[in-house]
Amino acid sequence: MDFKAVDAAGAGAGTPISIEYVDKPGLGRIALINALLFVVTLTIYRFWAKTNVRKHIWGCVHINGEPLEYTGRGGELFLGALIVFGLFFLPVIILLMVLQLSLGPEHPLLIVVNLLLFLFFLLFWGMALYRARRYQLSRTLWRGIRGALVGSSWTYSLLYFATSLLSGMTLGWSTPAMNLNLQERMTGDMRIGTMPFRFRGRAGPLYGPYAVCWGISFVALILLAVLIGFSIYGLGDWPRTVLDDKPSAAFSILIVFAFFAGFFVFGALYSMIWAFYTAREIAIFASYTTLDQARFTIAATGWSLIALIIGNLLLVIFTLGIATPFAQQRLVRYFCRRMSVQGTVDIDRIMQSREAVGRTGEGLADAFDVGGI
Amino acid sequence: MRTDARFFDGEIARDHAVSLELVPDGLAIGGPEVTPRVWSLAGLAAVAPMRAGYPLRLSHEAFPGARLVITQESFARELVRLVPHLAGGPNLKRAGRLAAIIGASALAAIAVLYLTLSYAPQSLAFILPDSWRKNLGDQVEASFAGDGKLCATSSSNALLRTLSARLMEDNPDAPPFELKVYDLSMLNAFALPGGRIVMTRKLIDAARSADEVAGVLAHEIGHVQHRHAEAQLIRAMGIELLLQIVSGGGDSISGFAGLLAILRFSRDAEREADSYAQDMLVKAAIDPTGLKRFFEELKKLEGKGDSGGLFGTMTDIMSTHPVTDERIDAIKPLPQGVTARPTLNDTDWAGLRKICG
Repeated sequence: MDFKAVDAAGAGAGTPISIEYVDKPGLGRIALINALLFVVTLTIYRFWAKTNVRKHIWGCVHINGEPLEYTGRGGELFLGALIVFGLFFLPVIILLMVLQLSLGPEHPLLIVVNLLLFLFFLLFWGMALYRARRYQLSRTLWRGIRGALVGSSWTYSLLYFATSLLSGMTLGWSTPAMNLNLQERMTGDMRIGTMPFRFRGRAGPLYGPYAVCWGISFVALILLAVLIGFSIYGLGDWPRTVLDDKPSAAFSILIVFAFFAGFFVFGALYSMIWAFYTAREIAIFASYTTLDQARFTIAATGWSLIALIIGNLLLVIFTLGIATPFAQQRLVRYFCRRMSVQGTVDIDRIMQSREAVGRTGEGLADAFDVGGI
Repeated sequence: MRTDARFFDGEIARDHAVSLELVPDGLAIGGPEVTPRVWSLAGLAAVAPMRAGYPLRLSHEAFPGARLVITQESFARELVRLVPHLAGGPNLKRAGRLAAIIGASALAAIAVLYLTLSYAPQSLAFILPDSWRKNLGDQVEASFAGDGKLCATSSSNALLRTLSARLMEDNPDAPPFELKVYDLSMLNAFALPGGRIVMTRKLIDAARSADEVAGVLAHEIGHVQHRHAEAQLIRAMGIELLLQIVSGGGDSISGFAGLLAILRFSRDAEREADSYAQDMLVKAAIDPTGLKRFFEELKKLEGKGDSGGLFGTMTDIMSTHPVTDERIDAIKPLPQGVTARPTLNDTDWAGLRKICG
C-alpha cells in the first residue's frame, strides 16, 4: 500500500474524509486463541479477548488511509468489572439473601423489591452505555489523537431512564423523540481530540417509519393472541389437566419447548419488523451529524440490517460462539461500507484531547452486557 | 541508514514529513516542522506487528500519542532486526504476567466460593432467628406438600405426640420439633427449616415395625439438630443469586424439583444425622436395628430401580437420602446391658398405620 508522505499542504484548506474497512489477516487466530483461553480460564480471559478483537478491528478501519488504533488493555476492563462487582452486585446479593431468608423465598414483598431493583438497575443502564462509549473513545487513536466524550454520565443516565419510563407510558410513541435526545447528547459530547461532533435535527421524519412499524407489530401481536387463544381452545382440556396434575416429564418438556420455540419465532419476527425503523433511524441520525464542515451519510436499509443480524446470529450459533469476532467485524464493516462523508474537515484544527484518561473501563457496561464490541 | 517517513507528534492530527536516521542512541527524527529528537530503541513499540506489504507504525513509551509511519521496507526490516520485539512475536513476559493474574484470580474466586458455600451456610444457619426459620419452613412445606393431604401433626395428634415423646425419653438435649404426616405420592421423610419433620404415608406403610419409623424419625431429628435444612437453603439461595448475576436474571427456586434439590443433603450431613440417630435411639432404648432394616429394604428398592419416570425417582427417599452399605454398617445394635423397650404398643402402632384413614 502506498500513500502520500504528507497531507495536502496549505494550512486552512479542508480535507475530504473517506472511510474504508481494509481487511487484514489474523482474526481467525485471535478468535481461536480467545475461545480456547475463555474456556481454560473460566471466562476470566474475556476482557483480554475483547481487547485483542478490538485492536484488530480498529486497525482495519482506515480514515483517509490512516488506521484507527485501539490502546485499551484487558487489565483495565478486568479492574473495572471487579470494582462494579464489589460496589453493585455484592451489596445486592447480600440484600437479596437477607430478604429471602427473613421473609422466605416466596414472600410477595420480594416481588416489590425485585421491581425496585429493576428500576435501580435501569437508572444505571444509561450510565453504563455512556461510560463504555467514553472508555472506548479515550482508547481510540487516529493519527495519534485520542477521542473523548466530555459530558456527564449522570445526565445521560437520567435521560435514558426517562426515555425508558416514558416509552412504557406512551406505548412507545415517545421513543423516536427521546432517542433523538439521547443521540443528540451522546454525539454532541463526542470529540476527536479537540474537534467536536455536532448533532442537529428534528424528530418529525422519524415518526413516519415508526408509525408503520408500530402498526404492523400491533397487528402481529393481536394475531398472536388470537392464535394462542385458538390453540388452547382447539386443544381442549388437556393442557389444564397436565398443568394441574403432577406433570409428566415428557409433557412438561414439550410444553416448555413449544413455549420457547414460539417465543423465539415471535421475537425474531418482531425484531425483523423493527429493523426497518432502526435502519431509518440510523440513516436520519447520521444525516443530522456533522464534524467541522463535513456531514455524514449512512445508507442503512431494513433488509441489509436483517441480513446482517441473521448472518451474525447463524455465525455465532453454528460455531458455538467461536466466530463471534467475525460477527463483530461484519457489523463494523457494514457501517464502514455504508458510511460516506460529504464536505471537508480542517485537519490542522484537530489538536490532542486534554480530557483526563480514566484508568479502568466499562465495569458497568460489561456487567450489563451493553459494552458493544 | 536513513529514510523518509511520516510523523504524528501526538499534539495535532496533521502529519509531518520527517527523515529518520539510525544513530548510536536510537532513532533520530528530524524535519522542517519538527524539532529534532531521538527515540531510544528500547522504548520503541510496534502499533501492530510488522507484516510485509504494510507500513510499520511505531510508538514510543516516552511520547504517548506520537506515531511514526515507515513505508520503506528495507529500513523497517533493518530496524526490526535491531529491535526484535517489534516483530510482534509472543511476548512471553507479558503472557506470563497475564497468566499469573488470571490464574490467581480464578483460584481466589474458586477458593472464596468453595469456602463460602461449604462453611458459611452451616454457621449462618445457627444465627437465623427462630421467626425466620419458621417462615422458611412454612413456605417450603407449602410449596412441596402441594395438594397433598395433611393427615396429622404432633401438635394436635395424640399418637404422633406419643411417638415423639417416646424418642425424647432420656434425650433432654434433643431439639424441639413438630412431626407432620402427609399423604403424598412418594415414600420419603424430610427435615424442613424451623424444626419441622414431614413423613409420608407411604413411608409408614413401607415400615414393618414402629422401631423402623422411630429410626427414620431419629435420623430426621438429627438433621434438625444440625440445622441442615436451613444451611442447605442458604447455600441454594447463594448459588442461585450467583447464577442470576452471571446469567443476568433467571427463575427463582420455587419449583418442586428445586426444593427437593435443596432437601438433598450432602453425604457428610447424612452421616451426621445417622450418628445422631444412633445416639438418640440408644439413649431412648429403641432398637437401632429397626433403622438398619429399613435402610436395607430401601437399598433393595433402589437396586430394583424405580419406574416413576424422570422426575419420579427424584422424589423418593433413595434420591434424597441415598443409602450406602457404609451407612448401613455404621448402625450398631443396642450395646450390652441396654434392654430395648418397645417404641409403641400394638394398638398405637396399628393406629399409626391407619393415620391417613
